[in-house]
Amino acid sequence: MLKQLVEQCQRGNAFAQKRLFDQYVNRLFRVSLRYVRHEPEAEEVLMNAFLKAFRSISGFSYRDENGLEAWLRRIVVNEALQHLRANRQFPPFLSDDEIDDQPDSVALPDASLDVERIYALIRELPTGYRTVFNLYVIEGYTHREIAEQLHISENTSKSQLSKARAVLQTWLIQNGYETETRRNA
Amino acid sequence: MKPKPDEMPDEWVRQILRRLPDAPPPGSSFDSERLWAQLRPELQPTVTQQSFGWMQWGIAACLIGLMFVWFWIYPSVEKQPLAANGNTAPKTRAATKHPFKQNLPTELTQTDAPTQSFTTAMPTGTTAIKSKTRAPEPIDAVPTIQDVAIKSVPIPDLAMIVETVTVVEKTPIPLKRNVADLPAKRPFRIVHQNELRAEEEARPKLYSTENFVRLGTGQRTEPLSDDHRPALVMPLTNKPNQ
Repeated sequence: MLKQLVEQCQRGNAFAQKRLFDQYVNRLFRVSLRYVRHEPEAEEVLMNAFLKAFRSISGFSYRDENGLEAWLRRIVVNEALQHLRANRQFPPFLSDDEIDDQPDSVALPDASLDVERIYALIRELPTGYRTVFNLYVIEGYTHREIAEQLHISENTSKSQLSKARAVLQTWLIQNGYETETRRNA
Repeated sequence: MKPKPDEMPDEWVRQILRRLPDAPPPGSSFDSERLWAQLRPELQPTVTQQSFGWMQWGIAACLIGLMFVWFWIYPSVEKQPLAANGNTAPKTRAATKHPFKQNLPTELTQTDAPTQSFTTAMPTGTTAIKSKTRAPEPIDAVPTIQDVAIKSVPIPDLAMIVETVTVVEKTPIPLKRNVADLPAKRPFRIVHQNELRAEEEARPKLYSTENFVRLGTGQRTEPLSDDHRPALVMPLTNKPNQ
């Protein structure tokens, strides 16, 4: 079904393009929002990403649904990074002094986890932390690839990731997620 | 290896994000239809550009094909009138120098017969004036266009053959001709003596004949008397004072 949809899009079928757009637009909007934070900018990134995707879909070889989604996500991420570079939002990377108190340990939250809250906390991270965190933890890039994308060193990428994790942990605790030390106490 | 306490499990975060609903975040003003309305016009030019690209290629291919056909047909069209002129040229030359004796019937090849009939048919008192002292020419038959076309075109060309066939169809010429239909050529002109004298008198004279004296007498019915004898005056010179 999805394969036929892709084939029709490759032929320039407008109806197929609309169907493919409706199937992935919300998911990819969340991806875009994790990188650029503000919704108008995320819409702009998303539109550019879909434009690029439909214009280059003729060269895409469909294998499975995961491959299609991963291809679309890659396009969105690249457009988001390009947007951040164009708007000169790299860096600022926060220094250690600007980070709040770090927790002693990390605990896995319970089942009644508000996923939207976690998603919102990730969006609240500073631009540099958020970008490295998204690329490493969620997209699966290596520090070397991140360094090439963001024109930073690998050590800087590692440092930014560590700091992003620390900030996120702090906020989780502040939002009611207990750490192991507190539980054991 | 025991994970560091300050590290958040990355897999936990990925699992959390996989559980996110397939919808915009709560409180978001995002509208997918509005985004599609902005996106749709941007996608349309690509379709028209592709079709226009194919149209361009199609038009270019048609033009190239037409040019190729024109250059292929034009030389054959040029050869046709040249071939037609060439057909007539050897036809006329053949008529004068190389009579087609092979294709002519036997009556046309006999050249002595017209000469004999010519001499015996002359009436008495007439002088045959030979304007040209030459043997009577054989009666040349007009060669057929078909024969000339075949002989003049060494390499058979389909277009030429078609053209020659059409020419034969349009202007049919009989292969055999009756001897009686041919106009007889007379090398001599039979003229009476009185007619000749009249022609000479009618011709513009190169000199004046006022001072000429007739010598000799013509035939007269009455004898001349002595009184009527005119005085014979013969000027010695042409000078008016003498």
